[in-house]
Amino acid sequence: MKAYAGKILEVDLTTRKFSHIDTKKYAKDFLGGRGLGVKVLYDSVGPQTNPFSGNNVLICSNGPLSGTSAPGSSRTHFTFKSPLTGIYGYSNAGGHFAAELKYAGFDAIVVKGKSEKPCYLYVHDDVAEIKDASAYWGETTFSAGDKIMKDLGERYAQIFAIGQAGENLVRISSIISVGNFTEGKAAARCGGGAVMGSKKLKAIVTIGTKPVEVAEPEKFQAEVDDMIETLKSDKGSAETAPMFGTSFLVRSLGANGALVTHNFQLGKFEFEEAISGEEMREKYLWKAQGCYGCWNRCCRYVVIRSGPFKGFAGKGPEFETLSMMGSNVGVGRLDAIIKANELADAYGIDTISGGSVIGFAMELYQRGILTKEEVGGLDLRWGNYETVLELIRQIAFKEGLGKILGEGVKIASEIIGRGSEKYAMHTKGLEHIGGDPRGQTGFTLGYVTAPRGADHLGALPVFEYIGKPEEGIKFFGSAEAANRFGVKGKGRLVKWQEELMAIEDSLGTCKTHYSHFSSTFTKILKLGFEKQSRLFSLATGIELSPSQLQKIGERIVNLERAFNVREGITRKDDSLPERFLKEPFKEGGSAGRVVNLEPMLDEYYEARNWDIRTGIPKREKLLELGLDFVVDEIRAPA
Amino acid sequence: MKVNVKYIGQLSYITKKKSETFDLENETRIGPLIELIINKYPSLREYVDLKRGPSIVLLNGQRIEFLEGENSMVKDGDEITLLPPLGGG
Repeated sequence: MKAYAGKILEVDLTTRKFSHIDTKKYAKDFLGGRGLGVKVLYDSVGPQTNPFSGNNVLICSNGPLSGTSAPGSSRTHFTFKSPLTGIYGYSNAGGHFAAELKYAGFDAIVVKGKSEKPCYLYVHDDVAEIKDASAYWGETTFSAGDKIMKDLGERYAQIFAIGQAGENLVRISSIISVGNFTEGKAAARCGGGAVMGSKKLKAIVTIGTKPVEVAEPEKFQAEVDDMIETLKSDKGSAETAPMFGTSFLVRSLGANGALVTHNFQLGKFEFEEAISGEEMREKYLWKAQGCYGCWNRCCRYVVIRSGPFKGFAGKGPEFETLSMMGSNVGVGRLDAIIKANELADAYGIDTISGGSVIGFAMELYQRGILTKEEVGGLDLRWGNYETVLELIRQIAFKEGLGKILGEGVKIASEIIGRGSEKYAMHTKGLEHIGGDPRGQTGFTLGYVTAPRGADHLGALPVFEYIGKPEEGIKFFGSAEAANRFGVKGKGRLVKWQEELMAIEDSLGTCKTHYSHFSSTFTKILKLGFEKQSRLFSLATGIELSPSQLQKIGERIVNLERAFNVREGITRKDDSLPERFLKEPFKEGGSAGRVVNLEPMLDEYYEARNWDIRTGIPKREKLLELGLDFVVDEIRAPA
Repeated sequence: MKVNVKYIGQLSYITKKKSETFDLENETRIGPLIELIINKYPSLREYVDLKRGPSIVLLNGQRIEFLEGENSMVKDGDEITLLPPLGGG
C-alpha cells in the first residue's frame, strides 16, 4: 500500500503511552483524512461522552495524497465530538502540516485522555514525544508556535496550536497553523481548539525526512501534469484565485443580494465596496500565497500602511471573515477586519462563529434586548469596530459579555433568553456563514444536511451559480438545479456534492483545486471522482473506479449521519432559523425570497435512501455500504 | 434611461472601474447591451460572451439563463452584473 505512511499514532495523554495502528484497517473503506476520522470517532466516542472529558478523542489526519505532487494535497483534518454542537465535529485546514506529518511517518494521530499539565506533541521521523508546554500556556497561537520552534531548534517544523480561547474552553475556538509558509491556516469550526484545551494539549508539532513513495510514479505524474494544465487553462483557478482568493465573493454575493449583513437582516451592505476583495487587492495586498502543492494561491497576505492598525503585515481575511467580521457586524473598513482576523487567529477563535455571535449581540442591542448597562458599557451599535475587537478579546478570556458569546449563538441565546433565540442564526448549534440562505437554495440545503451543522463546505454546490439548465436536467433531474432560487434537483445535487466533498476531505486535497474554483461543471466532472480515482489508484496501487470512490464518499456521509443519529439527531434538527423561512428581504438581488426547505429535504432523503419521516438511514442502504455495525445502534428503519 | 453595470473581480481590472452607468435612449434587450459593453472593452469577450461562455450575467441579481436569456428586457434603473464564472458562499 504505497503513498500512505502505513501507520497511525495513538497517544493517551492520561497514561502517557503510545501505540501504533496499521493504516490498512481504514484505507480501503475510508481512505484517510475525514473518512478515517469519522470511523475512529464512531468506534471510540459514544453518545454519552462529554466533549470536554478525557473520553473524547481528537483525530488529526492527513490523506493518501498528502506529501505527493498531487495538486492541492495540503489539507489536515481534525475530527472530534464538538463541544459547540454536542454532535459530530470536524475542522479542516491547509498549510504544510499534512505533508510534514507523513514525512514524519504517520497518516494520523489519535489523541485520547487528558494531560494533567500543559503539554504538546512532538512527532518526528517515527518518534513521538509528549513535552511540557507550561512555558507556552497562556500564549497566543503564533507566539507559542514560534517559541516552540525556537526552543526545539526546529526552524522548519509545522505546527497546529491553540490560543487562549482553546485553553479557556471557549466553544467557538479554533486550531491554527504556525510554521514556514503556513501562518494562520485555521481549522476553525466546531470548537476543536477547546477539545485540545480540555486535554491540556497546546500544540502538535511535526517534522520529518521520510520519503513518500507512489505506486506508479510516471503515470501518477502524467495525471498531475494533466491536472495542472486544466487548472492553468481555467479562469477561475488561474485568474480569480490568485488575484482575489475567495474575497471576490463580497461583491459577487452582494450583487446576488445574499451578502450576510447585520446578523442576516439584510442581503446588501452599504459599505460593500469598501470591504471588497478588489479593494483589498488595491490597497492592502502584499502577496498571494499557496499551501503545499498549491496551484491557486488563494491565500492573501496583506500590509496595513496607515491608520490605527498601521504596521500590520500578515495573513489577510478570506471571504467568510470579510462577511462575518465585516458586513455581518456592520464594519465597513478593511483595516479593522484585517485586525479582527489577526486577533481571532492569535487567540484561536473561529471568525465565522465569532462574527456571527457578535452580530447576534448587536441585533439584541438594536432591539433593546441587551442594554448598555448589561454589556459593561460596550457600544454595540452596528459598525463599531472597536467593540468588535474588544469582544474578540473578551471571548478569548471569557470576560464580560464575551463569556456568554464564546459559548456560541445557540447556548448564548439560551442563557440570555427574552426571545433572543429568534436571532441566533445556527443549524444544529453551528453558526451560519456569510452567504445568506435566501439567495442560494442548494447551499442552504447543504447547510441543513451537513453533519457538523450550518456548514458551506459539506456540499459546496457551486453548480447553482455556474451550471447550465441542460446540465441540471441531465445530471440532477431538473433545470432548477442550476438556478440559485430553484427547488427541484437540489436534493440530488447536494447528495452528489456531499460525496465529492467527503472524498476531497479524505484524500487530503483542497476544494479550490478539484471543484470550487471551477468556471464550468465540465471541469468539476473532470477533476472530481474521475481525476481523484486515477490519482488515488496510481499513488496507492489500490485500484478504485470513479464510482467506487463515490461509494466511499457515500459511506462516509452515512457513517457521519449515523454518529449524529446515535446522538439523537433526526429530521427535526435538519432545520433553519425562522428568519430564513419567513422573512424575505425588501431589496437587493434576492428580494422577496424565502427558503422552501421541506421539498428539497424530501428529495434529498429520497436520493439518499434515508427514511423521509425521520431522516435516519435505512437498513438496506447501510448494509449496501458495508455499515452493518451501525444498523442496530441507530435502529435503522427497514 | 439609466442602467448601472457592475464589474466583479478581474473584470473590474479590464474595465478599470468597478461599476458605471450607461445612459440609453430606449429600453433594450440584454444581448445588444452586452455587445455594447464588449465593444467598449473588447477583452471582456473572453468572460461574458453569451454565445460561447462560460459567463455569468445577472440582471437585478438573477442569472439571465433563468429569465429570457439574451432577450431579457432591461429597464430604467436596472442593475446588470458581470461576474467571473465562479460561484459559492
